Amino acid sequence: MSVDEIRSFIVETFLFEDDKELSETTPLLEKHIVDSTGVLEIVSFLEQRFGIRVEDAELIPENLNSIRNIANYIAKKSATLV
Amino acid sequence: MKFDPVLVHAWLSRTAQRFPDKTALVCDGKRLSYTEIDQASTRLARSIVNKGLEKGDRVVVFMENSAEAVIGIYGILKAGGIFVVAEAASTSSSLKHVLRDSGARFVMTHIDKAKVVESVLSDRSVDIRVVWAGKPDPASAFSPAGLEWEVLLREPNLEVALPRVIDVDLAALIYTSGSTGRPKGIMCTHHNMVSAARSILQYIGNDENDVILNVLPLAFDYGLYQVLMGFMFGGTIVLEREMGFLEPMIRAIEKERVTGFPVVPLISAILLKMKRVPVERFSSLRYVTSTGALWPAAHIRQFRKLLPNVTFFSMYGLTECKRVGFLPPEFIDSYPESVGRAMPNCEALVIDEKGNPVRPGETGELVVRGSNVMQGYWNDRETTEQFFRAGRYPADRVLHTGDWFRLGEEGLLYFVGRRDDLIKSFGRRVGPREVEDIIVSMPGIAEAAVVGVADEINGQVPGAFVVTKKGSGLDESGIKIFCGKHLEPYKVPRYLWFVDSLPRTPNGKVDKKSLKDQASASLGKRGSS
Repeated sequence: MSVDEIRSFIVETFLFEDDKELSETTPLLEKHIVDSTGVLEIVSFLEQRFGIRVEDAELIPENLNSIRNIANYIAKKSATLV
Repeated sequence: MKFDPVLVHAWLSRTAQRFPDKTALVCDGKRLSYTEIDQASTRLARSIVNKGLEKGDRVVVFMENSAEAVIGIYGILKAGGIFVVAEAASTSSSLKHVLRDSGARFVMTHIDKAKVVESVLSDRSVDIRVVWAGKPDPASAFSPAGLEWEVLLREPNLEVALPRVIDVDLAALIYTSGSTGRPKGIMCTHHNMVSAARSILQYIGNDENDVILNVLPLAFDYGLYQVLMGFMFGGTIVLEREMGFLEPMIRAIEKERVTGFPVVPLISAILLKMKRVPVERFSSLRYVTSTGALWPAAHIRQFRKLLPNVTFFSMYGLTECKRVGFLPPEFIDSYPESVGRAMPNCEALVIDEKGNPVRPGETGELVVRGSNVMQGYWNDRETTEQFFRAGRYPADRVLHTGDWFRLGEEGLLYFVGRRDDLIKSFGRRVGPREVEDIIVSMPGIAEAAVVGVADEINGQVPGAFVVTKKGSGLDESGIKIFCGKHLEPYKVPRYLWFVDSLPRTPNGKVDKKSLKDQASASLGKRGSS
């Protein structure tokens, strides 16, 4: 569920070209899809939409640099919420 | 007596003699010594001369911040060439512009840029040799045609003489957006670059104990000079790919014991957005510099409180002369709104319409004199003459910046605005005309006007007012996709407004002031969403 939602947020917010080449594992920063401002936008989207708090130390590529990483990160965070 | 080198690359060799084994560059987990970089760049220079590079030929470097990019720049200079760093985020259309406009004979790139490079080369009008760094992904069918970086660097002791270079020869073209047309290449001689660097090093007071974290792209002069200057004073440069995630950046500061951190206001804004700024992890920092856009006084004040032992340099400049001035650190608390006054060996004057210096409290155009004033725009005599004017004798040239300043107490300068509509976003220049030309080239568009819209993080972002032809059926995302194919992401309009017509001034020009007001009114209504 959240994979689709994250994908459509990224396509709508950042992707000015065909989204055919955007896979779940495309590195967002390396492919210049997202820049450092974009990272902030993703963070505030995640905090609002999923009701989580993204800690400063969690601002790492392993959590946020691809659709799949973001989805895994959300799953992990949501699990600890309950 | 011993004289200082006058050529950009001669400083590298001199530092390699002083500190042969010292780490010059930390990048991608690799550590390269001064000797390694000096020798690799010499081998590269010999190889490309052997492949036909002649003195004064332009060579485009199109890769992410990397050791190859740095070795490439010094190799090109040693070969007598002129280096041109293209933005790593270039689209094929903007890369093609830089290749064509500079008339480059070679492009040095990385295999991860193959898609963009190949699409430019498929156009037969571009005749250029490619040097590929990196290994192709074994899973892909792509096999690059051209020269291989690894092979060029391996050529042992080629018996090739390197050309003689003097300091009035061009070292670089730095492409930057202007108020009209596509980006222009600013011509920089060795003398210009070494002079600018020496003035800056003098006021920052760097020495070989400094470790600089560079997260700024090498296509941006502010990022490029971190490397050039570091190699002059013999420091260590920690070169990251463009600024992205915060945590790895802070880890690099901690791990490498970084002493100097150049930022643009965007980076400082992102740091201040942290839930808690981990000040204890910045304990090695000696100074922070900021330029590229006005550094908000509120940010300066917050940083001063958080990091009281760090020296902050708020600076101002433009690629046409690299840097103009800096706010002396002793004024940072009393005059944080000012960008300071001229740096050593540079004169900055605020003049009125008649060309006379204004009195304190008055506003005028900033003009700059000094060895840091570059040579003008490549292939564009007309624009060069407009901004780079003759001074009192042939070698004296005066740069008319197009920036309006107010002269305040203590001779301090305050930025007021631009003469034209140049937009400054993320510390980089966006020419409204360049964006307008792209939008208007789209079928179904009648007219477009682009203005800078205030943005909390970026300073400004481009916003476009668009008049479509009847029945065009165009929507916002269609136009953004089209722009994204031709422009770097930060130049793509963040906001789009569809209007029936554009407001005009009495003399028929598009009334940008009124559009700016409309933009801020519309965004104000929308609130922070």
